[in-house]
Amino acid sequence: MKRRGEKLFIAAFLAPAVLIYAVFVVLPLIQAFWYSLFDFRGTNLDRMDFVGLKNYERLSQDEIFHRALINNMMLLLGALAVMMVLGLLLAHAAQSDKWWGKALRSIYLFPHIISIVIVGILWSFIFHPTVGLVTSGLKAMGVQDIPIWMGDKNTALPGIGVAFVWYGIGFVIMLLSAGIRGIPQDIQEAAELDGAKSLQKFWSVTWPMIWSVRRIVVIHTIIQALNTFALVRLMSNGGPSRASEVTLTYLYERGFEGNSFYGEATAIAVVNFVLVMILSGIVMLIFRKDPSGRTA
Amino acid sequence: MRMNWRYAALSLVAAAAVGCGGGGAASGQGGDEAGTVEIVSFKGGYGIDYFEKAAKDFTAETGTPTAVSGDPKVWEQLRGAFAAKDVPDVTWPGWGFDYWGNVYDGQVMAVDEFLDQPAWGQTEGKFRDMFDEQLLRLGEYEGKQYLLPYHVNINGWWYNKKLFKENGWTAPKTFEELIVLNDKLKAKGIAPMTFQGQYPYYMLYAFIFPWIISSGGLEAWNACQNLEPGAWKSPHVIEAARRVATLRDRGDFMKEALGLNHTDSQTEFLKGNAAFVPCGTWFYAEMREIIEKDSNLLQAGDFEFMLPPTLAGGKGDPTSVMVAIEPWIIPQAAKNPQKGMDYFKYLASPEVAKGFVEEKGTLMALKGLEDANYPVFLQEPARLFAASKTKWNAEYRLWYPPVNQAAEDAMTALLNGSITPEQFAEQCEAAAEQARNDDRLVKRKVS
Repeated sequence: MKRRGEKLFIAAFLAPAVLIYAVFVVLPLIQAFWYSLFDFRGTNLDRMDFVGLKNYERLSQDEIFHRALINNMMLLLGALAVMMVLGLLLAHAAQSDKWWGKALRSIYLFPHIISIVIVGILWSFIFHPTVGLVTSGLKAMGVQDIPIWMGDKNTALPGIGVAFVWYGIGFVIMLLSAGIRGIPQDIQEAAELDGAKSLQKFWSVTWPMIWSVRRIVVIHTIIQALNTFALVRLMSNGGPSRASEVTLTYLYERGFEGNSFYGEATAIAVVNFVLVMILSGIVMLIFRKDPSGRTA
Repeated sequence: MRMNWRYAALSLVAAAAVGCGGGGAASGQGGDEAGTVEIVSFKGGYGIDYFEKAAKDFTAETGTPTAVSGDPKVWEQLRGAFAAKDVPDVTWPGWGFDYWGNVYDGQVMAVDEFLDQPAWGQTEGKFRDMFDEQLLRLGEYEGKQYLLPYHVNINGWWYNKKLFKENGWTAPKTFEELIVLNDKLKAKGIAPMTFQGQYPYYMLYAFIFPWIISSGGLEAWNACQNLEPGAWKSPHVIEAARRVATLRDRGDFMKEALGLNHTDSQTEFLKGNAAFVPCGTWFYAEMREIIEKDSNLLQAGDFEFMLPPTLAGGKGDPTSVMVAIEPWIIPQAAKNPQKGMDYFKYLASPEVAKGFVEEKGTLMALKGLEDANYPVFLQEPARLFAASKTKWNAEYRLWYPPVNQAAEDAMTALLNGSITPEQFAEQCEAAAEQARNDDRLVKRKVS
């Protein structure tokens, strides 16, 4: 009896949060899937044609959508690799009590607190083909045949990747720094007493001990890379000729730029969401067993 | 009630999906049954001050209260407002608005009844007689008039008149003359042409479409617009693409242009770094602030408008002009459609329209403005517009956006040398084929 009362007590506290979550998260997701089963323009909701899974069938045959998915994955893998390596180096550097460690600690989060729109505009200027910082710098060094960055199919996506890393790395450094600081001092000291050198200490102590932080970094990067919109929209608009198209810029084009294929655009949103969930699920599975014995 | 809930939920999903919110100037400003005329306008290079002033005068003359609002991306707000049927009484929704989607979905009012009424200040005759017939026809669907053309833009090239004058050159009338002139420009270290590489439709409008018409006549272009099988890979399309490839291979385009947006490329032109830039007659309005701030740039009178050079031996009319209308509409759910139309009639009355021409510097779809005092940069476009025997349009862009997007992708690829002219045509034809089979796209014919 007491147990039942306890359950009710817990349920009463949980109910408001569950209700808010259901109304503002679960219900819109269900409705998004529902709307993806219709052909409609979003201009008159009294005129919606039920087409079943036709929008998903269209996407399965759409080469531009496939290209956008590949670009998302390339952005994810490239950015993840760079952010993990660079993030670890800088997080280590930020532990130092020397002046550069303190300086690094005070600035590393700076890019992340700027609006992503400003970041997009800023990097558009940096990669500007005539007056941009990169082009001007290379010209000053006497480099010939400088790419036109966002106008070149070979450099557009990598250029966006650079901006993505610049924006996101501060958050990664913050997470990794917290992870490194969380490693108990006695373990570090024990490793030193056992004669472990810096690199050995890193591989044997730091790397396994920040297991759960690495998992957060990977999941966070998956979400950020697959939901990239503003950077691409502002820097290249998906061009040239789709070389830097990502799923959400394509969603915007299909739903809002004269096309008004609202059902198809919603289907893209659903596929993107499912992809994020699947990838995050795989990461959770891989990282489930912590070497320290804890489970996720 | 049900519809509003569905709309709210849909907005939430869309906003969550693309990370952009709705709301703003247009929502919640639906026409008021008490009689205030709600006017919502695109706030671009021409601003909305002229419409506000006209609204005040209209109110003074008729006693009808008015409320004017505008936004640079007003179409994004209007989409939600239309879906919620909370609409203004009359609107210029701007270039980003899905005009035809809203017409097909019954959200735009057919205005024939109003067009058969007398014009502003008249007691007889028909308002429709005030419009250029060819341009009015662009707003028809299934025999009914939905779009009300007001001011118009014509597309072409701008050239550095000052430079040409200093060197005794004249604007090229044919492609062959262009090639000769480009050699002279390159010899002086000036790039012949820059363009808005981030927005490939400028180059479709400036090179490909005019040269399709020049090569095969208007029927070749209309066949493309009507999605006739094979039209997009006709010899005329390939010929037009070949001319672009020729200019590309000769190095006649500014190298960096592929990475430039519209204002950057137009600024390069104004700096004198390129002799030509493709653009419509909105060029000055768009660049006015930059021009007025920097006296080192070309100033009004230093640059001039021209039609794209023609192809020798082609079937096209050399006076052909590409015209784009900037239409107003009356929403189907407007609470005061007659009053909204009265305001539009007032805007279209000769004195008010003439004032718009002179103050904002634009051409109009209305007759009777021949004696308007055009600003210096608009005199040549006005002459070419009046002298044109053929006015054409890229209507397919609004009818079949996926075909346009494929053409834009192919245009960029052609300009950066990734594809051949034949592949350009193949890619466009493939998109046309897809559009022919896409039952979501309402099939239209150039009338």
